[in-house]
Amino acid sequence: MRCERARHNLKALLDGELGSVETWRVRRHLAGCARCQEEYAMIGRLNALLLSADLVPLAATPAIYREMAAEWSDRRQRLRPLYPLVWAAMLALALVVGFHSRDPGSSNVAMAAAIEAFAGGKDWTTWHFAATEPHGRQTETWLRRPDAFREEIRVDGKLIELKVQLDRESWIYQPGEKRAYHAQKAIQNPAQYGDAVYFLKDLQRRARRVGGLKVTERPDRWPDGRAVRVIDIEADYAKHFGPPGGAHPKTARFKVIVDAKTGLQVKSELWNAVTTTVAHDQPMPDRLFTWRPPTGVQVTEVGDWLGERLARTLASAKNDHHSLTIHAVDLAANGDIWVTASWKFRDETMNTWGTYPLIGKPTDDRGREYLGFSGLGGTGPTNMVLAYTPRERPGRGDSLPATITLHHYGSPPLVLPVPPPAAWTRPPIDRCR
Amino acid sequence: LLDDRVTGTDRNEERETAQRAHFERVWEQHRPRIAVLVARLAGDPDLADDLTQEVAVRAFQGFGGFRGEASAATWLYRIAVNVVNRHRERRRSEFIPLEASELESLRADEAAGPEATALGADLRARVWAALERLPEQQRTALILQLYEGLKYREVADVLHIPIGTVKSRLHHAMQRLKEELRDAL
Repeated sequence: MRCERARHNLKALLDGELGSVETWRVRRHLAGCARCQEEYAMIGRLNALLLSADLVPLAATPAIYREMAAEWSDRRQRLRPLYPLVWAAMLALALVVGFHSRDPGSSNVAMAAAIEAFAGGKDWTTWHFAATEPHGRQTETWLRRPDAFREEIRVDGKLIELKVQLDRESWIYQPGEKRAYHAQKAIQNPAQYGDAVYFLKDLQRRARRVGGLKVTERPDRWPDGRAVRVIDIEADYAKHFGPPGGAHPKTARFKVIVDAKTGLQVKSELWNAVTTTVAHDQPMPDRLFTWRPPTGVQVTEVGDWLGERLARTLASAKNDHHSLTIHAVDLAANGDIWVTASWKFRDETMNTWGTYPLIGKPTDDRGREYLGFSGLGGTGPTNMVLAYTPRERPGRGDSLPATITLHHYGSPPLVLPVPPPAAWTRPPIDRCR
Repeated sequence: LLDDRVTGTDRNEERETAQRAHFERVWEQHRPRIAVLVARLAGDPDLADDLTQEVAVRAFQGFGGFRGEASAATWLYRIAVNVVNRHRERRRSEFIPLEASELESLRADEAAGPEATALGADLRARVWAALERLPEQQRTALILQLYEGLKYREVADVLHIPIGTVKSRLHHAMQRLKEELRDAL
């Protein structure tokens, strides 16, 4: 094959769009032609650059994420446990979106109060609350600053999951499965529990750019006689979450009721979850946050999955804007690939939650493409585990990938070895962004 | 006779209502993707709402002639491509095109916010200016393939062209972009 013909096919090779014979021909030519190899690498870099320069701002992505979630629910039941992570990742992504300053309006004070109350308020030492969701799911949570938490999830009154954490020892127990996970590591920060505060902050931030947010506040009295402030938040669904219609309302409504004196949360309604505070600042003894496995329960030692990976270095790359380190690549039993990465932006203001380097469409040595579907973070704002799933469902008897190529803009593609598959399909990390 | 006529009208109305409901279901399902495609093809997210609305109107007008759920996405993509291209032709004849440098500075201003700085507003503007300068056919094929993630076969279906032509257009688009963006690679 001549260079000219090979080059005509490089883009199609990169896209996995050549037939097997043509792929073999082009690859054979590439193996012996340094100039075409360089040309191929350049097409790869151009592809990655074009992808990372996408014009559609991240503000438009909730619709895409929802669509992805819908696609998965149709085709990929196996990913079901990941939906909450995807939504959290979506919310976190939306945090990246900047805004032009507009008059924030007088509702800002009420919104700030709602956000603070969602984070639990300022000066509590313990917080005990219960949340109910549709389909009979109930979550009861005990938080003790700074070191302990307990969460019980029940469906129709039956305990399906228990999480406890005291200092640096954590347990996750799933009675239905007769399984428990044990880690010598904190899996929650009790002072920053839950995602709702991020959600509200995101709403506020986006509203400065696109409007569509109305926050009103009125005084009221709680049944026990306390003075409370009822904060009603109304968001234009289309402006904030994507096209309305079908099951989606035109206006999304949220409600936060705060204690007028202390500013602590009394009750909140966010989407379909209604959370009610049971008590603040009640004594919570250590025994509430410890647990021992009963007989017959299979215990898995989790270890410091992320810390262990972050201590290694597999590859690094650099461009004008940031340096990127890939610490580890894991192949999950279901064919997903999990890449542990950390980075540093030259612009210090970028080294914050919600920003991360753009890494283009990964491909493996079999020519398969992967789609990024989640980012699990991290010990800080500048590292996370990027999760990719094969674009096409792995077939029976498929060979395993030996390498994965990440297209990182501004530097040559990173070709990384893929270890043999692990037994897990999801790393035991319980925080997401 | 009068009664018959009334019943006939009712039946027509019923049929129209059913058709409208069916269209709305199909449209609602595809609208997010179409809106994103329109924003990319138009090269301007601000135009997306209006042009997407136009796509909806045209799709509804042609919905009677559309059969088969399977290719609804392809059919809507095709309408979107036509609507946006017609708009771009109109705009080209109405306005004297901006010089590349003006376009770049304009986009750099617009592209405020961290999502732009992640790549660098300058470079992003350069990339989009380079895409703008591609011949329309190459640009459309590239946007469908690269950003919309369509397979070559699907691009061919949307544009009503042979798959070999898709491959050629993409190859030539990449060659041009490579020359324009060489120092950034």
